[in-house]
Amino acid sequence: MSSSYERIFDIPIGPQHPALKEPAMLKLKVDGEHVVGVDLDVSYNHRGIEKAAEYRTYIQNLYLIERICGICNVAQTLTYCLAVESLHGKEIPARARFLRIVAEEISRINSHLLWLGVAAHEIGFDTFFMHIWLDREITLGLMEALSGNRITSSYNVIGGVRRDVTEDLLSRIRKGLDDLEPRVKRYREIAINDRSILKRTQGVGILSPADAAATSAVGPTLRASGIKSDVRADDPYSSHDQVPFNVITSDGCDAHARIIVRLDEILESIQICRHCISKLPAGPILQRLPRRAPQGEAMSRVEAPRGELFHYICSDGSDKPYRCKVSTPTLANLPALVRMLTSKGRYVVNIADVPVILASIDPCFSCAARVERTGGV
Amino acid sequence: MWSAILPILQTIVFPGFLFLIAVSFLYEWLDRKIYAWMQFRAGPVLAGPVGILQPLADFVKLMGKEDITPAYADRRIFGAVPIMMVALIFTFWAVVPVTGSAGLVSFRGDVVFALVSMTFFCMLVFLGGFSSADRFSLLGAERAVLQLLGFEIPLMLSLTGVCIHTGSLSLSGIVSWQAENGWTLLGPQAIGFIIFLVAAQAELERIPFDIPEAEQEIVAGWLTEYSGRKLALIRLAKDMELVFVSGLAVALFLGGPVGPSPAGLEWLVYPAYFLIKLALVVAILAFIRGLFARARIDQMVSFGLRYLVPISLAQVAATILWRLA
Amino acid sequence: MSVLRDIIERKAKRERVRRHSLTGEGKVEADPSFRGRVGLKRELCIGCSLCEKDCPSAAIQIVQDEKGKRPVFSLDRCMFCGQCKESCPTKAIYMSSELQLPVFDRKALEVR
Repeated sequence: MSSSYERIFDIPIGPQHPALKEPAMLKLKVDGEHVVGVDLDVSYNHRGIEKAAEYRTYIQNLYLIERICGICNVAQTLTYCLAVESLHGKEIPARARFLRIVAEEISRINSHLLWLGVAAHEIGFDTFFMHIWLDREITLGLMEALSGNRITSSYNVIGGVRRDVTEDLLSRIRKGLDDLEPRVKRYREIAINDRSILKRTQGVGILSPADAAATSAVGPTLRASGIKSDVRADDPYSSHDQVPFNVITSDGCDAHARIIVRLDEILESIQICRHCISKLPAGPILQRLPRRAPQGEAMSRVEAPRGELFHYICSDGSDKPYRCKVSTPTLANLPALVRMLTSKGRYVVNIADVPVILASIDPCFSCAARVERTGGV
Repeated sequence: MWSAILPILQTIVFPGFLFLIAVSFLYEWLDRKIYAWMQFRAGPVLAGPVGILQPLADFVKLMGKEDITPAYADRRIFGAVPIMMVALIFTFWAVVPVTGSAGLVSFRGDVVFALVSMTFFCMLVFLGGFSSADRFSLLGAERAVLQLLGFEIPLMLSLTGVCIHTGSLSLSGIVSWQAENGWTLLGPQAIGFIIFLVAAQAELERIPFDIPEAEQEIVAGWLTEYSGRKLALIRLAKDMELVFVSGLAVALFLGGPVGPSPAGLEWLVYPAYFLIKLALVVAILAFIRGLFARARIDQMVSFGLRYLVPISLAQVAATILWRLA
Repeated sequence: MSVLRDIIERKAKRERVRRHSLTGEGKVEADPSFRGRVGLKRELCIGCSLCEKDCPSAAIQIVQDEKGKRPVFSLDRCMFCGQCKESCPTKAIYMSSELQLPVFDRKALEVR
């Protein structure tokens, strides 16, 4: 055994660790302060949701699917509803489609602000974290007014949306967005200018465009590597083709680029919300669909806040799905995460950078816990 | 009789141990309140009026908690470190002037004595982390020593500037020099003061230099395995260290407790001056804590050696030139 | 350091966080649209038991009372999704914005 080998020892991050909000295991091989290898295990919180979904009716599944991920619950139910609706082969009313976009974008703002606070916390910047989460209350209030709950909205239902909006509520949403926009712009300014943030995030967690494509990263992680990919633009699933918006990318390829991409996406989401509210078509909000879905298979994908979310539903003609399969964005981002965490050549990962890199993909391990092990990726 | 009791009372009650403990709890509360104010939070509110008793409540709560020593820890060192930390600060507190130009003990070279305490404290941190037999503790201990490398030299140099400027190596000499020369030390030694505060932040292990106990990276660093009474004592020691280091800053740069006072009331006015100045320094330290992200250990050391050392060397050189001229 | 400018500007505008408490002054109030405690308008209920069929967390039991079948809601199992309200053909189920439901007795969480 050579002397250099003896200096390498394992640091476990997880299954319980202050940097992790959910159970996951990162076994870091550490040489001094440098990470030289990583072994990732995310299957600590396998909840068997897909199997459970086979024993519940389509309506009950709505609330089960919603609980796969607390923060992207709107995206989860939206994907599920789209899949069930395509089983039925029915279009939903235009007003419902627009309202779905509003709910989706508010939840995206909510998710990105939450992530930004967590990222600030991971680099030890607690003041920034508290400020951001204070302003996140605005979106939580909007969500409550829109859907009746702050987080778990239950807004999308099969065939449309649950609640209609009144003129009063629309003006409340408009005011909330107006309050939020200058705050987000200020945070963007701070994130670009504050030297202590730059020091900790620039050049950290580099994922080159080639690597991002090779590891099939999704969402803001991919877009921060300069690749223009967004399900909303590529495959408009809910009247997104009638809403003008830009796909935000950045060429930074590092953790800082991911912060900026997400902040820009919040600003873009605010614009999308405003557009949808001003162009809201009149009409019904719900297309009643039968309880039994016709036999067949359906797939749907949605741009969740963390990236592309994919659902597959197989129906045997009864009121319960025969098979339900969910692929969450975090799962798609794990190979990219492992690549980011491994030192290679001049690219060195410090232990201190691990929480930042980990946070930079916005992990949601419990959503991803539907595989046994991803150690070998 | 009275003359025999007085020094004992001074050591134990005022301005000795009990005073130090009370003041350190008070300033921990102040620190937390200012930090909370910056973050649009309320801070402690429940214990006592405006939560002023919260640090005491935390201390009592921790004292009553289960005390666990890891099976593979070096029991003797592990248990001794918290007590030694408290004892260390108690001992070194004696040189800080609170009631007049001199502390309880004053001698030539007590500036150096006070400086040694910081290195000792860091060594105790290392011992505590090392004896815990835990990888997070070990990493934290390693980082604490690395960090010492980064901030110790600028800290010493910033004090050197003051000593050369006043021509004295004792705290009482420095305080009296400032009283005689109209508290004009802070002007020429402003850079030294800033460097002292930055180094103090590193010594006290607070953001942006809370690297040895970075929560998100290495759980609680060298503190990971401490619990119950030991953790309570360590937290007390850290609070007292905050007061001690701020007290040094007050004595060295802000003129200590001495100031204009009605005759015969010095015993009351001087400690009040001291507490006000102490609050000022603690407030500055709390502000620094709220405004930055945590630095990485390599960034911290290179920042210390690349920027702080040359700047403080320039400060010392300028002071020497000023003395010669 | 740019955070400092932000803090000063917001403090100058006298922004502050509202203190919440559970009772008395500053009591937490939910939005009127909040999905809180479930209730039943007995006169509208026809006892179709659709709500029981659709409830995802099996919080609804159908019992027999003097007027016929009716649901009983166990709020300790309820997750306030509001599906029963959606499923009800006669709009007999409503959700109030009542936020605080802590009680010592489990019986108190049964809406009869």
